Order: sequence, then structure tokens, then C-alpha cells
Amino acid sequence: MATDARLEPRQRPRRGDPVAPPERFEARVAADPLSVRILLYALLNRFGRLLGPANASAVELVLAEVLNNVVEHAYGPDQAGDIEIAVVLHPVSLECRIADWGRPFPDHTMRYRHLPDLEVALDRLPEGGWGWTLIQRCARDLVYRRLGDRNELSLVVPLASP
Amino acid sequence: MHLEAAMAGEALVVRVEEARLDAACAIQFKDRMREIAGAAPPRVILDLARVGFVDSSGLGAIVAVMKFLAPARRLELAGLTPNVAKVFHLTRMDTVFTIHAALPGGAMAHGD
Repeated sequence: MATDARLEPRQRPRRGDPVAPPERFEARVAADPLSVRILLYALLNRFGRLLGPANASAVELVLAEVLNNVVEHAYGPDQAGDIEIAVVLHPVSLECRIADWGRPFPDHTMRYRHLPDLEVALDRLPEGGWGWTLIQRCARDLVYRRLGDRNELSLVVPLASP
Repeated sequence: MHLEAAMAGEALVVRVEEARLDAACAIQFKDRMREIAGAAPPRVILDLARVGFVDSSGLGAIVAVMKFLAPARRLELAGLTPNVAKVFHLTRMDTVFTIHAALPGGAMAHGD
């Protein structure tokens, strides 16, 4: 992604330049795993070079987990719908807002999760349940709101110097 | 889902020839591994050197493979790229798997 030739001729914006306007990315896609993949590809194609590899990997992981949760839990196999994402790249953080029109969180509340128990026999090992842990480890300022028929999650991924 | 399987000594090395092991391909990965595992020896090494991204669905699929290989066969991992190693570390799944930095014994199961 960092070698995408389409980014070459542009005046290269630098993170941390106080006069440059923040870089933005907005998209609306169908809530399914392949569309999520394509969305992440487009986002990293746009921001990967500015972020550097370590930050890009944190951003990709956080957003993949959030978007997969929307696909699997907000909509699930019985419901189709869209995901809308708005991302703003600030000098030391990436601000993200993800919206969907699926089911709300239980009790309209986002709960902090702990890692699944690994001190179990092999045949009892978890095959999931890490998503929120990964999100919480790589992002901060997580806020969930139910606005009418819409779920909105906002979060900030702190960025290290690339 | 492109997987390449080849014997390296007594172990079966399965190389994942995909850039991502994510929610979009986790089920195909499990299905292909079931086909491959049918005739596998007791030691199976999953070579992830080509994989740049694993999410919790991909991680869950790897765990599922380890579970269905057991108890007759053991799944080990090799060649984790930095992003993938980070996911194993953050979820503490690096304490569950035997993880080799590269293929053990310098095994070159694949002709490149």
C-alpha cells in the first residue's frame, strides 16, 4: 500500500503539520466480510503511508474487529444492511466513527470484556471472544450510542511516531 | 483459499498462500484444513510466513484446526509476521501454541 503509485505525485502531507487540514476518509459499504476487507484495503491504501506500518496494523486490526462485530452481531446472518465509516487522521491519533442500522448492543450498553480463559483443556479452548480485547488494547475513548435505529461507535487509535 | 501442503521430514507443513486470514476466509480455511488433515502425520506445522493479517475470526479458525487435529495430531505454527505475532501476543494465544520463528530444522518443504 505504501508503494501505491497513485499517491506519489501528490504533495505529500505530513502528520503533525499544524497548517495542513486533517485527512479524512468516509465510506458506506454493505455489511459483509468481503466488503469489510475491501473497505480496509481502501482505507489503508489512503492512509497507510502516512501512518507507517506499526500504526497501520493497529488501525487495521481495530477496525476489522469493530466491522466484523457489526456484520456478525448487529446484523447477523438474518439481516442485511450497511456500515458507514468516517475517519479523520490527526497528528497523533486516528479518530473513527462507525455506524450501522442493525440490532443495538444488549441493554444499549457496551461492556468491557476480558480475555477468554485459556487455562482449560484443549478441546475447551475458545474459538473467538478476542475481538473486544483487541479493540480495547489498541484504541481508546470508546463511546457507543444508540441513536434511533442507528448504532454509532466512536473510538480513537493513538498513533506512535512512524 | 490457497494452501500448499508438503512433507518436511516427519511433519506435514501447510503453507497458507494468502495475505489474510480473516472473517472473509476463516470458514474456507477450516474446510481446506479438514481435507488436508485427513491423511496428516502426528505433527502438522502451519506456515504463516505469507500471512500479513489475522483477525479474531482467523485466530479462532486456527484454534478450531488445532482442536480437530487433536488428539492424534499436534498443530504447531511457524513464520509469524510481526502483525500476526502481535495478535497472538495480545490475546495470549502465544501461550497456547508452539510457535517457531522459522520452519524447524531449516525445513524447506517448498521449492522456493
